Amino acid sequence: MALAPRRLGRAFIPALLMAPTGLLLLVMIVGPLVAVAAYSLFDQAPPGAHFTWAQWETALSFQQVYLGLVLRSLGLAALVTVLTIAAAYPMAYALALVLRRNQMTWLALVMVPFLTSSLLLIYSFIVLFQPGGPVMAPLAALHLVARGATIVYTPYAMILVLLYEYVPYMVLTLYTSLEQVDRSLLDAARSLGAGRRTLFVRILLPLSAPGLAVGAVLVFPPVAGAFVEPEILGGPSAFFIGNAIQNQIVQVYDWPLAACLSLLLLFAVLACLGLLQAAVAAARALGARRSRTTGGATPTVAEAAS
Amino acid sequence: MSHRRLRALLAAGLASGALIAAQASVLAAHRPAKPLPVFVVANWEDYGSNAPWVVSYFEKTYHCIIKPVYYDSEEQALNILRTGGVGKVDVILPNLEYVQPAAQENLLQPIDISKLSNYKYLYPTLKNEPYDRWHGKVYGVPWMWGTTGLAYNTKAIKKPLNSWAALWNPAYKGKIGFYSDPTTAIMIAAMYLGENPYHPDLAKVKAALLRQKALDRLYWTSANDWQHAFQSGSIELGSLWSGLAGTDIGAGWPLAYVIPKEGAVGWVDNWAIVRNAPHPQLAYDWINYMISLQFQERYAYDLAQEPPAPSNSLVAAHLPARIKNIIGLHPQWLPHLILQRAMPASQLQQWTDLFQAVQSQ
Repeated sequence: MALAPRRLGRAFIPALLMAPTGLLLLVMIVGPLVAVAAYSLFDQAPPGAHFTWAQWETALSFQQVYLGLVLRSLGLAALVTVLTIAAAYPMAYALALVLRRNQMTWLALVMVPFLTSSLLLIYSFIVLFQPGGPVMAPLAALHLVARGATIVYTPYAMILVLLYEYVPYMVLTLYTSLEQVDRSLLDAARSLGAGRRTLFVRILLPLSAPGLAVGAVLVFPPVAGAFVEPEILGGPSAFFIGNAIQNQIVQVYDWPLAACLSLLLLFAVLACLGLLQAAVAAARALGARRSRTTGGATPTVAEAAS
Repeated sequence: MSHRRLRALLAAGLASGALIAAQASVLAAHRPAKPLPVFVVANWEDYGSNAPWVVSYFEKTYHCIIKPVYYDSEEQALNILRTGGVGKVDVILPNLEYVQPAAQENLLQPIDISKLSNYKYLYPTLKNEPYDRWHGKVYGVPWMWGTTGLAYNTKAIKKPLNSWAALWNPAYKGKIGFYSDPTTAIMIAAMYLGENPYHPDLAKVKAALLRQKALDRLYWTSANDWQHAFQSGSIELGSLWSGLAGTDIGAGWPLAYVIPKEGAVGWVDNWAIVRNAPHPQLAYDWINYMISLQFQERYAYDLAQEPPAPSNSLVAAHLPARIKNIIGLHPQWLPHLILQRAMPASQLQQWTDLFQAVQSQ
């Protein structure tokens, strides 16, 4: 008899704790998503809207540019994700496992791009890198680049800014998972003769995989939908699905097609993240099986540590 | 520029304060038996109709209270009328691209131009424009106009340019900023090719735009982007709005703005009377005032609102060259303009698809 109310409390308290955010998500995310889905199936905004598949046919047609643009956006997102990992990993490693103090100061500095609006970042980047600006002028003076040369208005500039905007996410998630790595594991592996490469591949990488996956989930989707950075910085060839969606909304006023394209992008991104998750799971399963059959380093070290 | 704008804002603030006080005293003195009619004006914000000196003059002269309704796109303007604005809004300012569609949707009422004493002073190119009419009746009264022409940096480019061919000249590769807008881009390409700008051969236009894009440094969409790129020397020439060119020239930038010999793209904003407008007489009074020499001359000096070129042909003689350069008032341009007109939805779709295909490559 005493159990029943406690069990009720056990169900009730989490529900209570989750209610405020849950409600917010329901109103701010689920609601708009339903609206977008509804928009994608009607020929215009209500009143007087009729059901139609026309915009889905347009969005999915091989005669149109949209499928190609989705692929291009996914490619950009994959590239920027890989670059953020490459840029963030050494830093997160140093912060979590090498530096003995002042970690918080460094983390605070990493957070600076978070505190600035992305438009401000983009325009300050233009000022920094414009011809005759603080970066290009010294290079031109040293005759390393032509006078008036700049990377602004090229895909490189766009990628660099995206990298700058999203690298903090990756540093923070990697830092959190690397910080939990037991240093004695590393010492044990070293004492058993593991080289740097083995240390990284067999211990650090598997243990930081969750951080990598979370980082990718935070970086990949927004970059796949990026449209401001390409438009302002990327030059005439930087045109992605986000730009097409923006065009449909502000220039063509075809909101149903814009809704379709947004959902198309959403599904494509979800599929990519699903693949990523499957890949991480498969890699872990493979790693676990291999170390079981060969008696590899990871469990040995883990056992040594425990 | 910002200094001047600040001062203008301060002056406007003081003036409106004084006006409110004056109005209050006038109202108190009159104590009208009937409440004043509320005249509803739909327009972009800070585009002439809400300037304090305009509001106070019109309210005092025509004994009404102006209630502004703002929109920030033409589509939104039509939506205001579609969703309950008809019968409530008195006047609205559709672009020439939207006059016929709005008339066709039965959102506007025909205008009796004999009731507008200032109509006869409008530039002939503007008042004879067929797309201001629908089934032979006038639905839009030209008010302000502007162009998208060719701009270049006079320090970097010494030889005067006068043809759109400059934007296809490989000598300027990497120095061009092209205005990224489907209609403007296709019309410019058509003019360059010698095609009919309203009905060009779209295959040829697409090929030309792709060749043009290969020479561009930048496809610009906002004034800010153009100004950054021009000021930093990243671009030296490109297609540009006359209003923005005037602002930059007024600020002393080394910029020349020309109407190429093939012509330039033009736009016109028109006052229209909404169907079932509650105050038709006030609507005529308003439009007649908006196209008067009195309003348009003074508005030309209201530089904080970045006024375009006025439609009343009497204004030019009253303005100094400096102001005319800033607002882009060069009546000799008018015959060379290809005005952006309404087009069928299917054609607009074709054009936007074409330009999107160019952007995507």
